[in-house]
Amino acid sequence: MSKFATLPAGKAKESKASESLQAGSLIESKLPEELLSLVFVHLSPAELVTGPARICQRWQKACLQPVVWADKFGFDGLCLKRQFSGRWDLPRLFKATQRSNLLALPDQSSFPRSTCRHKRLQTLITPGKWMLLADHGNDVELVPHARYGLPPEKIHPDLALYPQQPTASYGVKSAVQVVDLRAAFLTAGMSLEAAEAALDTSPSLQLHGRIGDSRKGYATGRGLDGLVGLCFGATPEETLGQKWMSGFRISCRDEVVKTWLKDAFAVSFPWGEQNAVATLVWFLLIPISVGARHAIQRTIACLPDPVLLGFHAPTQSSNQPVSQKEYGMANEGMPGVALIGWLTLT
Amino acid sequence: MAGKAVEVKLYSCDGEDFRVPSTVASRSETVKNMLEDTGEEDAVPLPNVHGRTLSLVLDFCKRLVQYEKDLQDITEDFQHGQLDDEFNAWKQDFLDIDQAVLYELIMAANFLNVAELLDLCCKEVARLIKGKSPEEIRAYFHIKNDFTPQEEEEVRRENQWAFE
Repeated sequence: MSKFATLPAGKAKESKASESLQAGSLIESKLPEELLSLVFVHLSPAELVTGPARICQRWQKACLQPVVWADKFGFDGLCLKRQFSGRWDLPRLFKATQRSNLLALPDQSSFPRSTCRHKRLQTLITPGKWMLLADHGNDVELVPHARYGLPPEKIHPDLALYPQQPTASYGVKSAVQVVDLRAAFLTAGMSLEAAEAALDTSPSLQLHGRIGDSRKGYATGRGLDGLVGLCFGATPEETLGQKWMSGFRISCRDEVVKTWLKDAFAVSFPWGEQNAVATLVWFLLIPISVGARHAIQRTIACLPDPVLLGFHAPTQSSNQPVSQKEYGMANEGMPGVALIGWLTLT
Repeated sequence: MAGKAVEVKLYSCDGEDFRVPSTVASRSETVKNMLEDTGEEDAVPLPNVHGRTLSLVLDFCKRLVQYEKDLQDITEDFQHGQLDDEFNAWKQDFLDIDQAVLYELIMAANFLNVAELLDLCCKEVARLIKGKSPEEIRAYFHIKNDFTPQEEEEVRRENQWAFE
């Protein structure tokens, strides 16, 4: 007996043989569901769906508790609200997730920034759970590290952006882990078809279609998924195959979330902002250019004028005096020309 | 010299009484709250816990307190690992109990709110589940399959991906 067993503890072990109760049936029949769920927390998604979810209805119900899945998503239900409301039958899991207030956002201070403002994509790499990809000002995507099996500390922002030499070392792991979401769907009671549909019809695919194409040609229209595949070291074949990527199709387009992201990370959406600026400039240019054009015409009309030549030698075509009004208009147009020139140069 | 630790008295539902240091008893949030309410002089009745289970819980708490004290005392990193190994080995030995006791231990840990013990026991049950087929799990835990054949087939089909 250990030195700590100073209490009358031996009795419990002595009672092993004499215990007439069927322990297993006790665990099955009397262990409250919340405790069963606490047990299931320690199982992986694959173990859950191949084991407890198939044992009996009580165990299956315990499998559906949010606590079982909370840390398996990594993003604590942040993304679930928008994507799955109204489009499909809200799976029980997500209803439960929402009920249990798992939408709480994580501690912002734990998110070191690694922004690349001059590039198309911004990455925010976190040492803990998440990797955030923000793209084009249209969309952001929260990617739980764990889903892809790559230790966060091994992800370098530049690697994430421009993987020069993809290695296949993480591909298989990713293939195993990325099924979490599908497992969640299925365990939550979604049919296989519905789960597949949910996984395959995410609009985020379309929005992210450009990424990757211009780099190495790996992603070929599957957009961010392809990029993520490359980020995490998948081979082009694996990326193109997409099978292992199909577990992740959640994105955030919720305005509230985007606002929060902006506040939390000072995320700027460079392309979005630039587009806005460009639009504004174009709108400004229209009246300016109209005025400028008019001014240029006036100026051209005045070309023979000695003012432009630097002296007042009368010419044949300059017999017509230029009125003060016309000179004024021409001068008014000059700032417009200058502005256009400046804008062009910049 | 520090004075002797205050001892508190705990009563199990079958009348067994245990005298333990308050530092050990306070590892249970439930007991801690009761001690704060009633004072450390009064005996604390625990009507939901059998004596044999309570002794195990207190055993665990005592070892945990000891472990944490040892952790504070160490000066070298390698000692940390050594202590962890010792504690893990002790836990392994501690969990060498039959399932009935394990069940009671889970219930007691839940009632007494000893988070570390509850986590340990849940991990142990999870370990028992891991690597077993549904049939094996049912047999092991004496569970009756209440799925209809159709439901079972549906569950099997939906989870087919996990086996690929």
